[in-house]
Amino acid sequence: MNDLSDNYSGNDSDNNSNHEESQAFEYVLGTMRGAERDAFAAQLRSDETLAADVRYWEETLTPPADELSELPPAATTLANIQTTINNRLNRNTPAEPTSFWEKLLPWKTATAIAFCLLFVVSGVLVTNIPTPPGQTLNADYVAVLVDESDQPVLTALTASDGSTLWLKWENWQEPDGHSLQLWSQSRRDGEIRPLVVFDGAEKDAIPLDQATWRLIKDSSHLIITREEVGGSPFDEPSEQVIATGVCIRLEKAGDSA
Amino acid sequence: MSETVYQFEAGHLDNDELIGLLARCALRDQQALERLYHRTANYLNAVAFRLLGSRDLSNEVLQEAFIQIWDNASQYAPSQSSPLTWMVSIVRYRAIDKLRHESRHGNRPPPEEEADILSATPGAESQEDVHNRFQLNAQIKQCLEGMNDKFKRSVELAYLYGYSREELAEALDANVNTIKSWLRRGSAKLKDCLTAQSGVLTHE
Repeated sequence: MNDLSDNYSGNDSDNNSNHEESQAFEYVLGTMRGAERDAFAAQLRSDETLAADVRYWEETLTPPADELSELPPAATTLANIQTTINNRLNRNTPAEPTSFWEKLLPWKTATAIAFCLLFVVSGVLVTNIPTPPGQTLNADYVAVLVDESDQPVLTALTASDGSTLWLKWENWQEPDGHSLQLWSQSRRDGEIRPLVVFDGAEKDAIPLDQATWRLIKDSSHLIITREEVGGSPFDEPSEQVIATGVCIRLEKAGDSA
Repeated sequence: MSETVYQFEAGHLDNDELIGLLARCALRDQQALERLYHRTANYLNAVAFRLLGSRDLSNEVLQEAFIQIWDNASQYAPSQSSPLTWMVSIVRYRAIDKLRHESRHGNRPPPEEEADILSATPGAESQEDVHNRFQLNAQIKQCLEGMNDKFKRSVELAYLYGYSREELAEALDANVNTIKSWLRRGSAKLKDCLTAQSGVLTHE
């Protein structure tokens, strides 16, 4: 049955735009149901204009926290959520990562951990890390940063006194017209903070000050991004991620668990 | 190991804290999820309850919503929406999906009784608070005051109580096409009003 009110006047693009805005409103309001709702939700995934309309109404209609009512959930709800998540983790079926954050972080985690284990077990990479004469490489923290195709780009580790970050690049190419920047992702608060900018010739060791050493100790991941010359002007990584890797603390004999 | 005691702080949700907790959920930090839950579950459960009219179903939806929040935390973009809006939307859409599978409005209590249920639950707000609290954004409320009563009622019943077009048609004694028409024209006027309001706020 035709809805007379759907017979628009004016030009087609305006009408389509009004129709889509109205659909976005009904989607957020919840009056749109069934197959129509499913089709709209599917369209949302590929139509950024429509998604922006939906976000507008979501943001507009949601009251601020102090205007929301409260109702404590059942005491078992949190435990049920945790059980479901842990059961899925045990079945090793994580959701597919899709966003920039997730690309940055658990991205290639398995590969990076595997490389770290290789590092620890075989010492293959250790032998390639340059060390000053007379200094043993008593590594504390190690990260093997891999690119999108799981190829190692950089192995970074700290020596025992925390005064140096040792680096082994797999295939260093001097940046031309850009810089590379190394970042630390904090395991404590999730923040990404800058560590060092690489320009010019290959560096195999960087002296660490106390602040940078603390950042590395707190790192869950290290990340390398491509930035404009001199590094990110905003102290935030660009989306051009070159490589990322889990930062692992190596336990020494005598370390407690 | 000492157990952390979380206080639920009504009206003190800190956006930056929620954004940080969501970022940590994206890193699969379950402590962050637990903290996020303790910060927001009371609000989100009330949103689900209002839509569903059932404590059992609202708990079910809350559970599903938090799993979705965990799964999709990496997709949350602070530049696009506030963390509470993002989470409320997940809960609402889950609840609306649930409504599709349940004939809720046939046997749910009227809105006035639901307010009594909200206030009668241990740990919830007082009845007076529930009644005094207007559950739509204040700006929306102001714009709706100047609009057609039936559109205003449609927005309240749909947004707060999960009414579909068909249920609105029955409740407001109109046909479904008329409801669609009200909503389309009303949403355009509402947006105009909100835009004008934000212009006024900007210039003040």
